[in-house]
Amino acid sequence: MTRAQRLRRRRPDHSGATHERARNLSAEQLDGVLEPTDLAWLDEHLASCEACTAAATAYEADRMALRGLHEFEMAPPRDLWARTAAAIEHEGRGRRAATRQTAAPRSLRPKPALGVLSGVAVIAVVVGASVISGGWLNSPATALAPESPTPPPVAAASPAATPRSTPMAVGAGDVRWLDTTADGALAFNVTDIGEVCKQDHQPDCAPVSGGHSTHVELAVRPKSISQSPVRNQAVVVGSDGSGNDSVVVVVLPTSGPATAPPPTVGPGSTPTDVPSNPPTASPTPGGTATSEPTTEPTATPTLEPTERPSGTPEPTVAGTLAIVSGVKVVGETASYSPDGGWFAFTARSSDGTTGPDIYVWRAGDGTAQAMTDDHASVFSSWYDGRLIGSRAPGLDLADEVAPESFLMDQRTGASAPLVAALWRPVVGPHGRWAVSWDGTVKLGADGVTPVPAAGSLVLHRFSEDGDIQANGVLATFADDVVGDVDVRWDETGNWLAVWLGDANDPSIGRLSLYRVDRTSGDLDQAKGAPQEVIAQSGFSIGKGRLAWATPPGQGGEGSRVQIVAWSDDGVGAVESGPVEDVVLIH
Amino acid sequence: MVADPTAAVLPGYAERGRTPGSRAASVSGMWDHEEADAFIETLFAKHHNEIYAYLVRMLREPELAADLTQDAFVKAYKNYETLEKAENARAWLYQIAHRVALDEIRRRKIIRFFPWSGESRGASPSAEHVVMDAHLSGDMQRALARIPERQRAALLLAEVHDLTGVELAAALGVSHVAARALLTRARESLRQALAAEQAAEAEAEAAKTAPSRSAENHR
Repeated sequence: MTRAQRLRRRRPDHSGATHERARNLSAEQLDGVLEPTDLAWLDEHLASCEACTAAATAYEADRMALRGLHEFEMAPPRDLWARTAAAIEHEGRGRRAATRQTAAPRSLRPKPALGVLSGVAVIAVVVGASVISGGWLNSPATALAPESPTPPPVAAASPAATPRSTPMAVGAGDVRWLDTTADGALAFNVTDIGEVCKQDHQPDCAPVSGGHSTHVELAVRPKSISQSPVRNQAVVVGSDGSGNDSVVVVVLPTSGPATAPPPTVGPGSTPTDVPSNPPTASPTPGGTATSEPTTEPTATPTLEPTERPSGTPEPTVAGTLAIVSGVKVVGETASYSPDGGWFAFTARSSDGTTGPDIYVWRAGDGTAQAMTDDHASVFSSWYDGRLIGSRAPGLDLADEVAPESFLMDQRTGASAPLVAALWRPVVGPHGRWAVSWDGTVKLGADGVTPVPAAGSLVLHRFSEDGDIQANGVLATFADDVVGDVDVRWDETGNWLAVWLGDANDPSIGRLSLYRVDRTSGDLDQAKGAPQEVIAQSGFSIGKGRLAWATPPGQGGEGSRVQIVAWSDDGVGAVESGPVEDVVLIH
Repeated sequence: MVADPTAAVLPGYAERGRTPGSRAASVSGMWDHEEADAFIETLFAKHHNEIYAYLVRMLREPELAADLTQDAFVKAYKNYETLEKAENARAWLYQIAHRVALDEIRRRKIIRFFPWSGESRGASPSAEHVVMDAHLSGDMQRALARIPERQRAALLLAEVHDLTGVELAAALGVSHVAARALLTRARESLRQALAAEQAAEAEAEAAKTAPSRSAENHR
C-alpha cells in the first residue's frame, strides 16, 4: 500500500475530503492510469457530483489549452549560438588552464545562423554515430519458425574495424508507425528517411531515431493502420479488448520535420469528416450495418512523447469514429481507394458463425456499409474507381472450389463478374498488371474464411474480360501459399511487395520486393531489394520506400522497423532502434 | 549491444561506447574538453529552441530568456561530467534550465508575470506575447502566472514541453511521486486561479457596462 493510500484510508470520509480526493484523482488521471479501485470510486463519485465533474472537465480543458502551445515556435535570437559559444569558449579556456590539458582545444565555431545548426543535427542523426546495425541483411531468412524468429539486428562491433560506406540520398519522405513506449503508452512515430546505406557495402547507417514521436490514445489495440492518401487521417483496425475487432477512423497527429520546425505554425489540421459523437455500425447477421448512437472516446494526445523535437507541431485533438465494431476483420487487404474517398475491408462475424463480407466506408460517413451478404466474399483491391472482390461459392458443399472475382461499384452495389477465375487479384495502379491466386480455395483455420488451396500466386496481365491464361502469366511467386497473402504496389506501379504469411503464425511471413517493368511486366529483383526476409504482417510501400517490422527478438529485445528505399542510384536500407508492438502505417 | 538513439545525435558517445560520465572518469578525473565542446554544440543544436521557449514561458521576457538560455548551456558545459547517461541529456538540460529560471526569479523577484493581459497592465506586449495571446486566453495567461512557479514549471514541462514522468522528476529535481503530486496540485491551482480570473473579468465587465446601462435608463 502506498503512503498516499494509507493516508487516504486514515482520512475521514467527510464531504470535503471526498471531493478533494475526487479532484486529485481526476487530475492524476491525466498523468497516468489510476488503480481500478480508484477509478471505480471516481466514476461513482463523478456520477453524482456536478462540482467535481466540472473540476475534472476544467483540468482537461486547461490541459488542452496548454498543449495548444505546442503549435507555435518561439525563435530565439539568431546570434544566440554565437553568444553561447563565446561564453563556453571563455569558460573552457579557464577550465583548460586549470586542468592543464596539453591537447590543443578544439575551437567552438560560432554559427551565423541557427538554421545551419539544425542541419548539423539532421546529419548527426543519420551519420553521427558509427553503431552499425546488421538488420535483415545480416540475418537472411533461412527458416520461418515461430519458436526461432530471426534474431533482431544487432549493433555492430567496433566501427574502427568496418569502414563506413557512403550513405545514399533518396527522395524526401517518411515512414510512420505506432509502437508502445517503455511506459506502456502508444506512440505515433514519423521518421524522415533522407539517406540509406547501399547494401552492396557493409551497412553502416546508424539506426534512425524515433523521429517525431507523439503519444496517442486509441480505444482499440491497433493491428493494422491505413493512412488516407489525401488526408491526415487513418483507418485503424484493432481489437477492442473483448476479442472483437473495431474499425475506427482517427485523425493522425500533425507532424513536422524532426529538427527543423516550420517558421510559422498555424493550428493543426482539424478533421472535417469525423463526427465528434459518431454512430457506430454493427453488422447484423444479414451483413448490413446498423447505426446506433454512441459516444466514442476521443483520441487525445497524452503527456509523454518519447522524444519531441523542439517546436514541432503537436497533434490536434482528434475524434475517433468507429465505423464498424463487434466483428473480426479478415486478411491484410484493407485499403483506401487511390482517391482517398473510400476505404474497403473484409470482416466476418466475431463469433465465427458466418463467413466474410466486404465492407466499404465512404470518407465522412458515420458507418461502414456491408457490400455483400453471402458471407463468402473478400475485398481484393481497387481498380478504376471500383472495388474488386472475390468469393468462393459452394464451399459448404465441397472442400475446394474454384473462386470467382467481380468488379463492384461501391456507390450502387452493382457488380459484374471477371472472366478469369481469380482469387484476390491485386491490380497495380495502372490497371495493367495484377497479382492473383490462380487456383482453388478452401476454408481456412477459422472454418468460415476462404484461403488458397492448390494453385500458384502469379503476376499476370489484367483485364476485366480476359482469361488469366489468355492474358498471360508473367511470373510465379509461390506454389504453396499456406497462410495469408499481402500484396501491395507502390503508387508508381513500378515496385511491388509480396508478403506470404506463415502457416502456423499469422503474424509473421516472408517479404520480397520486386521491380516491375510497366511495359513488359517483367519482374526484376533489384540489387539490395529484400527477398523473403522475415517480416511481421502489415508492411508499407510508397514514396520510394518499403518498411516492415522484424519479429521481436530473443532476450526481450523489441522489433525493429526496417526501411528499404530506392532511387536512381540503387537500393539502400536503414533501420530503427528496438521498438515494441510496432504497427506500420501503410 | 543495442544502439542508443540518443547516442546517434551525440557525437563521440556511440563511437567510443561510453557514456559521458564514464568518459569523464576515464581521463584521470579530467574531462575531455573536445568532447565536451562537441557534446554541448550538438546538444545546443538539438534543444536550444525548446529550452529558450521554456524560459520565455517561465519568465515572460524574451531577452532575459535568451540570456538565461546561454547561461544554461554554459552551465551544462561546466557540469558536463555530471551527466551520467546520454539518453538523459534532455531532462538534464531542463533541470539546469529550471534551476536557472528559479534562481533568476528569486534573484530579481520577478513578479512581472501579471502584465500579460496587454490591455490594462504593463507595457506593449512583446512579439512572443502577441503570439502567445493567440494561443492562450488572457485569463489563462494570468492564471498561469498566479500559480507558484514550481507548479507552473511542472505544468509547462509536462504539458507544453512533453517531458515524461521520469524526465519531469529529473528536471524538477524531485522524486517521481513528488513530481506527480506537484503536477496534481498545479492543475488544481490553475483551475482555481482561472476561476478567479474569470470572475474578476466578469466583474470588471459588469462594472464597465453598468454605467452605460444606467445612462441609458436615464435617457
